[in-house]
Amino acid sequence: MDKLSVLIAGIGGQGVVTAGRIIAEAFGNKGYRVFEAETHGLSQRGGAVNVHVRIGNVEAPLIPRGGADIMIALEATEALRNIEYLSKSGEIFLNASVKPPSLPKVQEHDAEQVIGRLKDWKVYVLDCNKITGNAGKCNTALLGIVYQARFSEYLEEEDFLSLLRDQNNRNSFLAGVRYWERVKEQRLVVQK
Amino acid sequence: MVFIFISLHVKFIMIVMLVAKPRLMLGNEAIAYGALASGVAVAAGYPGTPSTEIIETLMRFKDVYTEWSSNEKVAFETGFGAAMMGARALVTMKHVGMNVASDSLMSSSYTGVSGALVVVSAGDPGMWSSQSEQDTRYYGLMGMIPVFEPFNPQSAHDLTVEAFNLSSQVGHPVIISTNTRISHVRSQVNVLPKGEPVYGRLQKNPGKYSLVPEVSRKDREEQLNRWEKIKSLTSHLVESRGDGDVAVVGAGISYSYVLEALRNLEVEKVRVVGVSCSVPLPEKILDYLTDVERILVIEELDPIVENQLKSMLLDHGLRVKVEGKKLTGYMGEMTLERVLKAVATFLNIGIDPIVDSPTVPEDVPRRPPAMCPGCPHRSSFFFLKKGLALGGISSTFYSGDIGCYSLGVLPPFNEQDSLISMGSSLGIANGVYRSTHVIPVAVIGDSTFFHTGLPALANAVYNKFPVLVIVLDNRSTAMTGQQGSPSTVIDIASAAKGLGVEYVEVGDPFSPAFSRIVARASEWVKKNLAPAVVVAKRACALEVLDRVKPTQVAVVDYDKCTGCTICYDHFTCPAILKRTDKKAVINPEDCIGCGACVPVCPFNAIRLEGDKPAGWDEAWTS
Repeated sequence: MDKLSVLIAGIGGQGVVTAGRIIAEAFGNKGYRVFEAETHGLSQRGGAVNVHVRIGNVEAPLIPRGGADIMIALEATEALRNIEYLSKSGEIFLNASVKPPSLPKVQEHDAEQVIGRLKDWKVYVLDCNKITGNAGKCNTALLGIVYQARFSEYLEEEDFLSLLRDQNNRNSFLAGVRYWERVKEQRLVVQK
Repeated sequence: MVFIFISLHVKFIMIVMLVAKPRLMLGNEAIAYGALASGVAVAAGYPGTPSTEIIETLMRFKDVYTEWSSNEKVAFETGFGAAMMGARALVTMKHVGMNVASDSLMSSSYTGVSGALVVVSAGDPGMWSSQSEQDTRYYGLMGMIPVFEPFNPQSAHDLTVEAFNLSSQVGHPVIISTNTRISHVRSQVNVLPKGEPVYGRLQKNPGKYSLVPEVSRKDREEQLNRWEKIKSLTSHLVESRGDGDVAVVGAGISYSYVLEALRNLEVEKVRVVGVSCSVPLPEKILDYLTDVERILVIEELDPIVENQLKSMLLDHGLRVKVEGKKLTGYMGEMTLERVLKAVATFLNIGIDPIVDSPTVPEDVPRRPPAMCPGCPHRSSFFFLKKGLALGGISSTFYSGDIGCYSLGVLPPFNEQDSLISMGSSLGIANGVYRSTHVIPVAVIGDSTFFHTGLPALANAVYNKFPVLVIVLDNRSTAMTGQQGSPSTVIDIASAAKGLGVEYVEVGDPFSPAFSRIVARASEWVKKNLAPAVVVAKRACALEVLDRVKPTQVAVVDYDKCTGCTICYDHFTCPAILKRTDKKAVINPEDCIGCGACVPVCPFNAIRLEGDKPAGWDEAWTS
């Protein structure tokens, strides 16, 4: 691997920063050079949040627009909001749920509309609740999927599990790993 | 024996590896470890994004005195006083905090210090969490204080060590100018081992530290002498790579972007110069630039390095074309694509297709940060508006302030008509009243009240200013991650009374009675034309959740819910959603069972289900 850029998009409180930190630590502990740029402070409370993770032969902390290889979206509209970061050959691991912003009289959106507008990219449409049986953590479930799909050639399962503190997170991660194994890549791709 | 020897040997190597292995940490942690390696003994700050984690990291080390001061000026003076006594001191704040500290900061450059004094100013280009993106480095130019600018977390650690060395060697304050993409970036850092904290001993030198005119004039001369010494001691903080007829200079974080951009563009024959001391720009930079034809300077925000370089070239009679802000622009964070575009234009080459990025559709609904479920500010704003109407203040000016409650600027509340700087609510409100005779409402948080609200409240009493002051006392400095607040030690109502405020009342913002308290205070202000203070006292919900886990949840009674929209469109708790039939539904995953929405429903359709855990009510009010 020369370099790998992963953008995680979601809403403050969904574990966006935690997911970014875990990817950075897993690769960092294996000796890869990593930069992980977080968003703290006011901007995290229920607002749109993204985390940039850059691995390998890189110097700068932020992914350039059009430069992300992988986007992990914990909420569908956040994928759209951050689409400028994704490269033309980039792929999206998308939790297909929509959460309205906490503002009065908001326009209703549904996940299918959003996914329809991502037709230029390879999108893996996922349902966290289905994967974890409504019991787990979406951020770690998606980590399990992306690990199995894209990181397993560089890292071991244990590199992630050792960073996940409670059993619920470990179970969610493993549910993601098993889910990816079970459904096979092709059946999930809905576009491109 | 041989076996034992080998295992000991292996153990030794493992220990060496453990010590030497770089650790993944935030830039702010790297700065803290740099300070620890330099023997920091006293560290003070005021929380502010993105600076907060420096003091938080130091607080884990019990042999270092650390404090959250009531504001940046007090924090700075704490460090300054310690450095007067010969101690090694660190002061941290966000960039706009420098404005608060600047009075004493300027004096510190005249007096110098006896120990070491390092000030970290964490900037926020792009304004993720700030009222401005002002360039801290002007304070260096203005006050003759060196400014070090790291380019990644490792350099943040190393430059902190350099800053302490320079400060103690010359006896002069040093500023470290970091930013969001250094301070809040996690990367591998090799840290030096912790040093023994260097405390001070009582020493007096009024001929140096008591700035009466005679001393100031003498200090001014010494300051200028120290400045020359600083120039010679910072010459190594500029480096050069590669060779060519043209040069690209990167200052601070821009240096990282320049290195990666040139790699991406696969251009050769470019000399790259990295600057990590932006003020004073080391003259050594000329060694790398005298034989080039053109220079591009890339730096975040304002042309501090660019202008110093231009002046330096002129001084040396060198005619070299220097470009900078014209190609990169002033505003916002530096990015790889900004640097790529600037470098490509400068070198007159085609731009890498990476810059050709997809555009975000315009109709993506905006998602600003929201007050959390259970946030007492939401209820305060909801009942404040009702109370003002009850009290006959129908048209007013909401003079806002800085904290989570700044989110009251958003609909449906619209209760922050201006929001200027820490503690500005009362002063701005005074000007509004003096020019219009409309009685304003000043809304200020507890930590901000003690930060810079007190002098303005004293002014309100002194100048008999009719204002309704609402102090949102959530028992913490919540916005930056629930650091402490003086309100947990000093009772705000007593402080207001002590300042001579005649009408002071404390209420619970979760209770509809809060609007009646606001109404009474409004009537009193109108009648007496003097300030009244209402304290909305209820803890930050995140603080409560850290202490007690809820076992109850709010639910909607669908026989009673009429779909009136009040709870989701006028109260806007993130846990309350609109069903397709317009009735409300409460998401049990987001609801924390605080019950704030229960009195908001005019049809009594919301109730709490399940028993509250022990200590729940106490956690909200203690």
